[in-house]
Amino acid sequence: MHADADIARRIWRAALLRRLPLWVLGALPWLSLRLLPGLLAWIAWCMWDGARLRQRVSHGWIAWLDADVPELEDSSALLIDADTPLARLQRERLLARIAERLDKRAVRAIVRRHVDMGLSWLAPWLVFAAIVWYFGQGGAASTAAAPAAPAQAARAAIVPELSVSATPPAYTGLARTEGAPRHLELPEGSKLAWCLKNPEAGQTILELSDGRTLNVGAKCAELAATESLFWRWRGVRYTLKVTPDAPPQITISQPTQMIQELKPEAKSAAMALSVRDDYAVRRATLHLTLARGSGENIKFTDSEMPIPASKDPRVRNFSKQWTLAELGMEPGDELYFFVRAVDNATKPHTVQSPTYTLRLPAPEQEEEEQTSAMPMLVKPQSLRSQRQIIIDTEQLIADMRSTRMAAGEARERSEAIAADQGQLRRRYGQFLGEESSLFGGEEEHDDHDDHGSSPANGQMDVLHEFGHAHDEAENATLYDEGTKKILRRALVAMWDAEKALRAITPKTALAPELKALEAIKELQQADRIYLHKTAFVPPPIKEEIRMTGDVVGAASYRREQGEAQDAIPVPLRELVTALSNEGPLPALWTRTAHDWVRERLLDDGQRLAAQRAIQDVADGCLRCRPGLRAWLRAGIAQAPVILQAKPVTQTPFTRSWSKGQPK
Amino acid sequence: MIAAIVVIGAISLLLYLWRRRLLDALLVLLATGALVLLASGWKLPGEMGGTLAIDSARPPASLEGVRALSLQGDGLRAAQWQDLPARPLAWTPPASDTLRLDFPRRLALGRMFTLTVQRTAKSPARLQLLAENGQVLAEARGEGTLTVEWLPPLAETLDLKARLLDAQGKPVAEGPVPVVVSEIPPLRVRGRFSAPSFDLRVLNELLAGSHAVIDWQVALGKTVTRSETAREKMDEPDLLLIDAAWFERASGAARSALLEEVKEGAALLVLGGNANDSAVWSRSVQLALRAQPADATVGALALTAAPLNPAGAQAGAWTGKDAVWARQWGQGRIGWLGAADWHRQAIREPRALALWWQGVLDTLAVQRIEEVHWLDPQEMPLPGQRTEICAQGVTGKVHFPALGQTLDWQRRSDRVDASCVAVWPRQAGWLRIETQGAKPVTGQVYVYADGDWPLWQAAERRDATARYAARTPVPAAQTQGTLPGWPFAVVFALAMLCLWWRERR
Repeated sequence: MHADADIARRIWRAALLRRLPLWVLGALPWLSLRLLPGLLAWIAWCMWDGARLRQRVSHGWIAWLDADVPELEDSSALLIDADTPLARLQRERLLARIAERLDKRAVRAIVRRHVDMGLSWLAPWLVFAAIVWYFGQGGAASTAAAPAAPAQAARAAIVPELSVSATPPAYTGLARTEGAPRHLELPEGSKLAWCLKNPEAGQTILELSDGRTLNVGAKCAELAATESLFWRWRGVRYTLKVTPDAPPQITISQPTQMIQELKPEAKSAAMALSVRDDYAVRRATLHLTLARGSGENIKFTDSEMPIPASKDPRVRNFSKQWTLAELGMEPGDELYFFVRAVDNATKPHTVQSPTYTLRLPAPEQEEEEQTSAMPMLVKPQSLRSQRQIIIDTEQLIADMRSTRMAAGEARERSEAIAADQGQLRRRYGQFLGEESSLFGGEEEHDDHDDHGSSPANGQMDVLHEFGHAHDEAENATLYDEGTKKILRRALVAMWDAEKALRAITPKTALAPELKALEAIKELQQADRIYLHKTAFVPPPIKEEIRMTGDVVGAASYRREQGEAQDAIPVPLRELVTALSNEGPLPALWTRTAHDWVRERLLDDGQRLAAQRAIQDVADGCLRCRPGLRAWLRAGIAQAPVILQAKPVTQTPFTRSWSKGQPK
Repeated sequence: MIAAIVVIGAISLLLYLWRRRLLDALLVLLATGALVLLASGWKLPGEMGGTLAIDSARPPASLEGVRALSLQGDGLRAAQWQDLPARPLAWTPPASDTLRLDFPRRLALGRMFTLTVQRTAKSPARLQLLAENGQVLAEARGEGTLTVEWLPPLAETLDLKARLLDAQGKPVAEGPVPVVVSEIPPLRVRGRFSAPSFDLRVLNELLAGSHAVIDWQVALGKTVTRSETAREKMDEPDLLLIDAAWFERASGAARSALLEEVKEGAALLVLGGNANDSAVWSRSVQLALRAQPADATVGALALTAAPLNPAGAQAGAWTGKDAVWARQWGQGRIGWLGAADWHRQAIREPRALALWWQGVLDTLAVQRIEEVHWLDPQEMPLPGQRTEICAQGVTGKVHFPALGQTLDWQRRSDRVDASCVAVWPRQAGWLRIETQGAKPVTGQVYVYADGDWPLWQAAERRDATARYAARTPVPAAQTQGTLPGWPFAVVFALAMLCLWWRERR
């Protein structure tokens, strides 16, 4: 029993000693002020503090011993209460260990861990003493004038007062604002200025979220707002949200469809649109294009008209019921229109609406023709190739030779091949600007064929008969001259073949057919060469060693393994590792972090939050480190998968297991 | 002894009766009976002793004299149950919903982190994995068990959070998910090939992107060899890579040297994409190959099958999984990669391809030696509760700076090749551990706060309680109580005192 009382007393004494400096220090101001009530109040507080301390020690010393002296094996409670022989024995052991372990230093260490100096109590008392002193002084000052001292005190107490002025860019037409520090929302390009209302207060520093600092003193600090950020002054953060200039918005409410079919009897067409910008629409124009005619004979007429400004510079509305005469539209015409708008930003945004089409249908009879053309458009192309035509011709020749074919049948088959050949010719003829067979030209040509002269006509005549070239081949500029020459040769050969086939002389047709095939092949080849010119030119193949399996000229090489590209820069890696614990951070870490955040976090909210985290960590906040790590990690777009071996630990068990395994 | 008591008692009784002292005879009879009962230690028939209702918040320190236990609620933690002797437990598991979280506490950099939440509730829910700043890293929706995956980009200590929301978006459970992502030593690869291909090139790029140390040789015909030497010296590669063509063309001596190396403990992977000669394979490594149809695909990525592959998942000593057939070869392993044309995935799905390759390496059991391996705690460490920390490959002492404790690693009968210590963490957060293996190693264990994951804690308590309940029933004899001795002793003493008093009178 004595032993535990002894230990408790020793701990209590050490605790008293620990608190003593506080009690002495707290008494000093009152002693220096020679203020008895204050001293008495302090002594009363000290007694209360002492009583509290006593209570803590008497309740806690066992737990303290358990926590700090591992040798006691959590059994300090036995020092007080050991009612069984075993417990008593253990208690004896504990006492022996305590005697050996618990010297003065150890006791002091235990108390230091559990009893603080309580210096924080000193602050309110000192403030209290200062207030008492101040009022005492104030009374004295009123009686005995002492001008120098208050002036000094006043200077020390001057708090810098800041005013923030924001000047939006002139084009926005917004007024300049000025006021106390606050959260601001400004258009992009605004000028911000921080000025001191009382420059005599000295310099003050503003910290921007991107790591920059601004000095505000006699001179104002200025900043052009280009991106959202926050700034900190005297511990308070103010957000500056920058809204980028929005491009004009064009809404076309009439016509409602992109391609509007007007009724044939329509006399007018409605058009309604509005252009809207966040500040002002500088220019808005309506572009109209009238298309008239069909096929290759289409004429376009462009016109442009400004959309008149309204009272509100931000909006331009336009709506008009055009008469077709105003638009110059006639049946069969199409009118395309779009709106182009420019705003008044420093870097103006130009926006163009999609193109709308107004279509006035052609009169009835023309429409019939068009409808008859429509199925032709969708009809699948069933062209026989030149090679098939040759095969067909050869088959016909063979059949005519082997069997006695009826003249009608021979004529029929020959003409069928001729029709195929004609179709193919027209297909190729398109490339030389001839009229197309795919858009209903077949009938026409059949007509041509019908009024063609007898098959016995000379070659040139036939060419003229069949040629019927509507356009000049030279005007078709799709191909270069060489290609066109080959194409022309192919067409001429096809003409010949067709002529011979229509004359039911397939044998004579065969030669031009083959010639045409050759030319077509050459054309295909020419096409390939044409593509070659624009793209990669492979090195010439040495034909003599190709496919021989000979590796002469292919050399062995030996090179050092290349360095892998690392997606995550090393300084960032080091920074994150350092942020994982509470140790010091690498030099210039704020720059690394700011650069990374600016480059990788594109969302304004995220970037500001990350910058806030950087500032907090720079202020020494240890709990903010995981948050900053998370923001830095968020900048990594995609983590790489790293191929790796599975870790295994060799234990005596696994070693003997593997030894026992058969080899 | 009882016989002696009975004999002495009987003689005394007869003597008193003979002297016609009936009262004394009665006292002797009483004393004899009491002494006999005291000495015999009679067992009572049936159950006896108290039933203790256990309070989960304040578990009993000992069960002295307690015959059975009753329990309401989830019960105690495993560590608390282990301190109590086995007693029959009357307990019905509560029907309320619980959660079980499953995730690796330690992860190598470059491996996928997978968090699985097993729910007893079947309602639709949403699981979110959150970073320290509250950003959502991964999300999964569904019913029953939910899994989210996330690839950590940096080696660091992560204090992630997970949140389970119900169908209405109301949080059901939220808590910390602590993970330590650690750097790994690079993979050491030696590659010998005889048929250059895009596949090889993609594999080389994959390995180079994984910072592997690569020794790579591609032979073109007999005269041309293109080689890439390792950036650092490599004595013992983790992985030997060959293509089938290399093995088929290699001399007998080269083949047997390679197989000998594998026998000593290396891992060998054969790229079967250019296999030609099945006889070589069946002769040298007992791998029976069959020609595959041209349009056959294998594996999770549906890659083109190699021209020759084993017929089924099990082919003799070879076991196949996801296009890889592997077998033990002495101390080492040989794998046959029966897929080709993975280069087509390299642009379309590079991550899926890399994960597939990691799967191939894991199937082949490509291993590296790690000095110390920390085992995940079997239950959530909580402040003030006993926590077991186990590791493999540690010796000597372990130091906990935060607790100021240095303890000896102890072998445990239920962990064959691990050593454990028990500590009582003081506060929530990371608990640092310093220990000696072959060299000093530090580790850390996350201690959850008392209020973290209450549903998971409930599940762990229920599991532990169920395990404890399974430790009994004990044999019926032991549940019988012995007669308490003291009343008989008192009766005996009083009877003797009376006799003595009467004799003295």
